[in-house]
Amino acid sequence: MSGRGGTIATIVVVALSAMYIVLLTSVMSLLRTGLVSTPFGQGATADLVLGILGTSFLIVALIVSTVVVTNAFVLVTASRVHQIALRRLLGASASAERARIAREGLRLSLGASALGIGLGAAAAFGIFTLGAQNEGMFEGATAADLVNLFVVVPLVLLQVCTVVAAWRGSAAVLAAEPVQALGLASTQHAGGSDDVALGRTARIALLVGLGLLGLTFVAGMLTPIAAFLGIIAGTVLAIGVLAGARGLVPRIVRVLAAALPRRGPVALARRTLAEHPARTARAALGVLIGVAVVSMFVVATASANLSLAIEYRDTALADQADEVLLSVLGVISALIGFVVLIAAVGLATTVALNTRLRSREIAVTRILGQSRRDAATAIVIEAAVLSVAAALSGLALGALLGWVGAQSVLGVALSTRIVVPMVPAPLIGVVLVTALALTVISSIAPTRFVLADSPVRAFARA
Amino acid sequence: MSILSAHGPWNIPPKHVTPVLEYQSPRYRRAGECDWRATRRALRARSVGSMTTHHTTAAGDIVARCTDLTRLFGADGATVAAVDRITAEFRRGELTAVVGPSGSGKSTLMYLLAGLDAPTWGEIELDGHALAGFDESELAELRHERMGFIFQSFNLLSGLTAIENIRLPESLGRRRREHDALWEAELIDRLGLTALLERRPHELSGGQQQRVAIARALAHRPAVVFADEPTGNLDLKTGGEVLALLTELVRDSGCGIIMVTHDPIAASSADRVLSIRDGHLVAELGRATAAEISALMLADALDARAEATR
Repeated sequence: MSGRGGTIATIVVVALSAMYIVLLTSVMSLLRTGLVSTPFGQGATADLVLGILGTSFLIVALIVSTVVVTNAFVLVTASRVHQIALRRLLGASASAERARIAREGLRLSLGASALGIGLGAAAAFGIFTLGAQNEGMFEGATAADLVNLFVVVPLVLLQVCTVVAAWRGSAAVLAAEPVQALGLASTQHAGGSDDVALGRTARIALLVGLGLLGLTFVAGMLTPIAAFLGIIAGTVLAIGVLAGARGLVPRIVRVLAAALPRRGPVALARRTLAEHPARTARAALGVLIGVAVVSMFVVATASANLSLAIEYRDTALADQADEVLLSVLGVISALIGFVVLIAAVGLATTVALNTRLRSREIAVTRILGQSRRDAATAIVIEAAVLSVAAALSGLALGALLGWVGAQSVLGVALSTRIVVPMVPAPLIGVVLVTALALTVISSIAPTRFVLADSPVRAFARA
Repeated sequence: MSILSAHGPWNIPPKHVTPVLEYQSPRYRRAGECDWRATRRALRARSVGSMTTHHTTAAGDIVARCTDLTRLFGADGATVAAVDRITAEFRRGELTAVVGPSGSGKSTLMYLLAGLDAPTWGEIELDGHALAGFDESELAELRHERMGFIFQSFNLLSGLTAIENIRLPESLGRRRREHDALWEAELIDRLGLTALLERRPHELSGGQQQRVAIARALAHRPAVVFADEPTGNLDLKTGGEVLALLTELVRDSGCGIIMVTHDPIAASSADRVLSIRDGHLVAELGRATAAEISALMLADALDARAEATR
């Protein structure tokens, strides 16, 4: 619930990301060595597929951790607005204040990365030992294959992303007027409007991303190199979603919220969601991306699996194809667990931030006669609507990307040239349950805070 | 000399002191949670007496009453009484101003009367209900049904339009509140808000925002309205207009208003002025001019300083 929460979130996220990067590159190089001994590993294709998968995993992890770290630094900055205003009153410039926060970001990032690298190396060695003992999955691989010098690139990128995130997250410094330190400025900020137009960047990125995705689909019929185009398309689309989240997410949320009752705490949750599009979008982004990534890989694997099963229906290869895909899927889901974990940290920080920024409003409504329980209910419902909306849009986006991704890699290998799309029903269930579980977990701290607080104290503090 | 002067200046605002003696309503009080006897002894040792108000009105007209109301803050050994044995009554159709310097306990008194803070002891009766027997959600319900609030910084919800703000309390409670459309229309008309209903708070001037807040506070015909420095963020002229509207509406709606202020001009529009210093009720005036109230407050401040330097 404070700046410390934001700092802890940053450390956790950066450490998880560094661990993820080390683990991913090590396991990928093991798999590459292991795959050579199967019939699928003979051509350059399998190698390429692994390379593409690894690269896209890294990109996704970097994007998610950048978003989450940005949110964490928004929280850090929000909780320090008064200190910052005071320093600005005493003569510090806004850019110096932002640079301070960015430097803090770098310091946290370096420390957390060291921790993450250690954990990642240990985990990778553990996986190698287990895998070598049991499955013979990494046949022919030695512990030396764990080391991949390429790992330096994403690790450096992670530091850059964290510093950029810290800088972007600290934008609120510019809004911390020195006069706020005097306590004279009214704490009431201009209200948000219901509709935020999609920015030009967002609109262009979304259109270009969708166009490239279409192109990827067609190109996938001809060559597996289409996967590179797919990565570009996915990245551009992700940029569009990130940039346009302020406009996109509230629209999706509004559609969902329209189904809720118009009275009591639910109505209040509904209103606050419509009220602050930027906050709403921030809270939803982590889940949206996490779910999109999960869905993307599950749908890609399921679609690829289905298509391969059809393709190799009559050959002895069918079983083996299944087996290889399943083991790859197992490793993939374990790796994706990290992204979901990072998204969970993101959701928790944003719900905490929302509650913090709204603490005065919450205090006012409680003074006007809202019970503690209703105030807490409103927060939980708000978070639930948010994450369900985010999860559903993440599922849709991920399914699309996953299908096109599978097509770009496998299309050329199939006699039909088209991968059959497959969204497993359990995925939808798991996504919804996960989103709700994340909501509940991340609302616990803020709602407990509201439940324990006296409205008068909250009012005086805000 | 009170036991408190040994532990620092009186003017520590109670909001900055951690309350240790959290009041618990009887049904939630657990044994051994706080040492009542020690607290009582500490209070008995105090030499400063409390002043009681003079009651003349019939009991039926009383909308709020407190008896021996006391609220202690601070760690053991260094307790500070933000409100010290205050007994007072507030009547229907009457605007009562509670005046006093910063840290005098007037805000704490208001929070106690509104059930937002719990007294260390003493009794509060609001609209015929003894607050001591109420748990948190019942207090919230009582605030929702029988009280209205007006704040210094207006505190309209920034995302809602004026009319949505006026109707906000309706959606807060569990029970559906009677929507009195006629009274609401009259309020909107008399407060001059007809043309402003679809605006958001940031599109309204301070005076307009406070008028919306008055409509929000009175729309459900509460028994008591609490106004915390309602003119504190307004210029003199606008503040005067807002107060004139408020006093007029109190008389017509028959509720009682308890207004906390340190502005003698605002207090001069009240029917009654209670002066509070160091948690004690030190004086009570009927209708008074701003000059009389200023003189009273100045005398209090000088007394306080003399006491502190003694």
